[in-house]
Amino acid sequence: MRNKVIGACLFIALASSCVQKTYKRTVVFLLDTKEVKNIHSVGVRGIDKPLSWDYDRPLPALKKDSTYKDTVSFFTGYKFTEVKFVINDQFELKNQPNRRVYFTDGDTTVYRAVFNRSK
Amino acid sequence: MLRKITTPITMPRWWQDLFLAVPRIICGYLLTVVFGSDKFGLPWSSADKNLALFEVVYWFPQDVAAYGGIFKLFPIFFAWMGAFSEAFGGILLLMGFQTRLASFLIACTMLVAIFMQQLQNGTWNMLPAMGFLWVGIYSMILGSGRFGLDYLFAKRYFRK
Repeated sequence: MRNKVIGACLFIALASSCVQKTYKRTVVFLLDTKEVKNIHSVGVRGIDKPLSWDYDRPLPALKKDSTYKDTVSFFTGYKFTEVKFVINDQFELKNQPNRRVYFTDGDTTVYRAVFNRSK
Repeated sequence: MLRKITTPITMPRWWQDLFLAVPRIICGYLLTVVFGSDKFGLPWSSADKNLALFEVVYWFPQDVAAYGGIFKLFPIFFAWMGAFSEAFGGILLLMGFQTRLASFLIACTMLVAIFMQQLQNGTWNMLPAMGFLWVGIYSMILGSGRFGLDYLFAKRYFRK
């Protein structure tokens, strides 16, 4: 009986403590949009919060109609996140896999991309 | 007790056991390799997921807490148990080892998935969990049948 109680306690302790650790990962997105005309809105969508697949996170223009940039911080345990860029509410890379952004070992990852062109 | 849990009910013909074993083995494989290893650290979990052995993925306790009630009180415990049931229970179901115990854990997990997670998303979204639940229910009643380790163990150790 004593062994069963100790076993149950150990099991509950194991079950309550083994959660993957999360880290703050910062990504600087730099998007080249030179090949696209009539740009009204530019954004990024993704799988991990604060991004979402349902709505844009707007990318402010670094140079209008040419380069857009934003810095996003994620709290994640994974080594990567998945995103797609959106211009005028239209997703890039239709029927193609999402972009995988692998985090670098340092604090900040700089991710450069050309709209609708997978790396 | 162990004898009752382990000893399977066998069908009159071996091929009837085989027909029941095939869905059990496929479900066990899918649970451990596809669904379970995504949220629970196993040797075959993707390296990119960065999961240590027997570790539950970081987002799962948050999802479980959102179910409310008792799940909100003990989100880590329920998340770990759910992921463990799929990942490790899937291996047991595949091998037909302690099939009734594994089936019970899997059936409980699938009931939670159906009623707490997918109910508001419609019947189509509930189908995968329902499929695993049906297999879990009959495996809980019958055990492994002839095609599982339980049959061999029962034959060797619990023979009258």
